[in-house]
Amino acid sequence: MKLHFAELIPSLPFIAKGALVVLQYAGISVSLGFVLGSVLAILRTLENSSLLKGFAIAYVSIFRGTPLLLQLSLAYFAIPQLFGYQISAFEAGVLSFSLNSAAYVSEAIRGGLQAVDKGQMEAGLSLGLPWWTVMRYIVLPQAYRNCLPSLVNEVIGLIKETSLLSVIMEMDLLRRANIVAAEKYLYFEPLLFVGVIYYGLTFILSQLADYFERKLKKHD
Amino acid sequence: MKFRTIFTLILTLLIGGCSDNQLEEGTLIVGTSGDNPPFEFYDTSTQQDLKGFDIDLTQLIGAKLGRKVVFKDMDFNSLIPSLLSKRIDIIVAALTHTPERAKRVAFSNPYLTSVPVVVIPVSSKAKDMHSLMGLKIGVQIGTTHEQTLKKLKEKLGSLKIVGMNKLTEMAQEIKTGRIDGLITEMDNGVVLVKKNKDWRYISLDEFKEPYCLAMRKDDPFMVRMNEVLKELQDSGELDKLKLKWFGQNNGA
Repeated sequence: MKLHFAELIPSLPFIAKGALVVLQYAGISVSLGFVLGSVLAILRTLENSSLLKGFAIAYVSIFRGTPLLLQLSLAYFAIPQLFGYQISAFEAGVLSFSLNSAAYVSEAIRGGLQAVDKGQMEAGLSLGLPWWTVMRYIVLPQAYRNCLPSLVNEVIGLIKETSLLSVIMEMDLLRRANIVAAEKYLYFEPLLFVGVIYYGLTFILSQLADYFERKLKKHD
Repeated sequence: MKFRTIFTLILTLLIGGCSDNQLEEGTLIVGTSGDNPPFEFYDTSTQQDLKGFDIDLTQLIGAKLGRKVVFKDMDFNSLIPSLLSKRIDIIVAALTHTPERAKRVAFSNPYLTSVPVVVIPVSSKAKDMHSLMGLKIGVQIGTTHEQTLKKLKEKLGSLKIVGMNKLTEMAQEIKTGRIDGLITEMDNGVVLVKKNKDWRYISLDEFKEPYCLAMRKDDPFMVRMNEVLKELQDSGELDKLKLKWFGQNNGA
């Protein structure tokens, strides 16, 4: 097997810059997706409002049921045409990634919420605490801990999905690898290199999550 | 609370780092796809800026018009949607004129002619266009070469067309032996053959196609653009560019 990594070395900084793009998009989208996903998950637990519950169900069904690439292209190309607003690549990317990740995150959190014993909520309410207070300080924290592994899953998924960003003029890792591949007429050497970067990012993330999980376990 | 402060701080930093730069009035926003040397590509080893024939041409046009040029790099498939949604003013990306594309966008007069070639290993039995019959040929999806191959298939009677995403991917597939050859521009073919000593190419002269600039159909600026292209042609500047990027034999 003949590999030509030597030719690739001068271009490594160019490719590596893509990691910042990935972190930027994934970081913001996961944060926004987490907040929105929590709201959606809570809406689905509501027993007395079928309207809000229905909204949450429909939302998850639509955003989980269509490809992210399609949502991204629609956000970027359809919004200017339909609403006359020149949405920037960054806004369109963050918008579609956050909305999409909210759908997945909400399902993870819903799982976490279901795993919290019903008695916790009942006990809180019977002590005279308002519903939101019980949710915010007793039920949600436990739910988050329950679903930490699935949340990490979602973040890792999102990091890898930033490779779709090239359709909206963003220079993500994969696009950079393809640019270098075209310039040097080398195919898989740049791809191997971005593979290592993606793996490095997700590896660090999962190590952090492990550490966090162990810390939380102490309180059991 | 400490966690929340750190979280907010990180978020602010991330958002702060990505403000969109405002463009000044009269800037010409040019869409291109920087993975197609020698037309447009990145010199990733040194300056990391776009360069190539199309890039130089656009700079010349910008200078003639007295407008500042800003390039937007994107996936080739995003070029026409970006033009139609007014994100860019013009496409300069070795775009060939086709009836299908002409339904959506307006083309300028041609500034270059594209000659397709089929790159094959030296060991291949194919001698000329006609002896390509029955071979498995790779093609980049979304390019006009797809149509060229279909026409060639009709002419030859039998040809297996394999759609792929990137030129480099196809080159790799020749090495692994999954395809017998690939179709690309003459200029790419020359470089590929130079890089891979055991390859050669067969040019398909009868399938020549013109390269044009593309703008929106309602853009009155096209008239001026054609005048500028004519001026560059007449002054010999266009020929100088061809010599610089393609040498004497190609891109006629």
